[in-house]
Amino acid sequence: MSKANDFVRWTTPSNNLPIPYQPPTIALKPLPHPNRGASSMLDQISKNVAVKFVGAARPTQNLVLMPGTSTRDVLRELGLGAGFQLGDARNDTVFPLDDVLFARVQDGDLLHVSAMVDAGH
Amino acid sequence: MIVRNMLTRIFAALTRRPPPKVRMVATPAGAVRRNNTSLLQQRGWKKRPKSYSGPFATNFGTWSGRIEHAGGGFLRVYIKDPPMTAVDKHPKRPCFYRDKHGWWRINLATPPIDGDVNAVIHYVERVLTESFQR
Repeated sequence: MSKANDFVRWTTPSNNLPIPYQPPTIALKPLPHPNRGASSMLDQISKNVAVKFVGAARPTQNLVLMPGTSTRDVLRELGLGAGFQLGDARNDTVFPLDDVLFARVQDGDLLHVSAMVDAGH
Repeated sequence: MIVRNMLTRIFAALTRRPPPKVRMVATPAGAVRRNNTSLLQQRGWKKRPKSYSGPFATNFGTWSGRIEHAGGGFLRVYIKDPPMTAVDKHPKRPCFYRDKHGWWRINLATPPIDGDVNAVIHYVERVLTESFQR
C-alpha cells in the first residue's frame, strides 16, 4: 500500500462519512488596551470640561481631565504659565494653582481662564 | 545579551513618561458653537484712545466703570457709585478709594500680565458679586 493511502486511512473515519463542520464554541476576542479606546477604564472615570478664555479671541477649548489633574496641569496644557488663573463659571470661584481640579469640577462644567488680577494697596 | 536587554528595560522604565492628565479634544461635529465674544463686547464697553468705559454687570446690579492705561502696564480702574454698604463687608474694601463726582478708584496690586482689560472687568464683577453674597 502506498503512503497516500495510509494518509487517507488515518484522516477519514472508519465509516467513510464526511465530518460535519462544527463552529467553535469559544470565540477569542482581543482584550481592549487599558489606556486606549473609548471603552477603557480611564475614559469612564475622566471628566469633560470646557474652558472659555475671558479676554482672548481664542475659541472655547474642550478638555478631558484624568484623576489627579491640578489647575497647573490645565494651564500648562493650554500654553499658559504663571499670571493666569482658572475659575468656575457658575459661581466665579478661582481655583488655586496646586488644587486638584478633578475633584472640584463636574463632568460638563464650564471654566473661565483669565489673566490674574488682584486689588491691593 | 542578557545584560544588554536588562539595561534596555531599565532605561525604558526610567525614561517612560507618565500618561498625560489633561488632553485637548476637538468639539464634536455638529455641536453648537459656544459664544466666544469677549466681556468688553458682551457688556458694550467703548474704547477710547487711552481708556475704556462701560458697565460692570452682576446679578445684583450694574455700575458704570472706566479703565485707564496708566503707563508701564498699569491700569487705573474706576467705578461710579459702587454699592459700598455691600463692599464694606468684603476684604478688598481698603482697595476702594473715593474720587470725585461719585467715582471710586480700585487700586490694583496685580495688573493683568497681558494687559487684558477683560480680566479686570471680570475681577471687579467678581468682587462686587462676592460683596453681596457675604
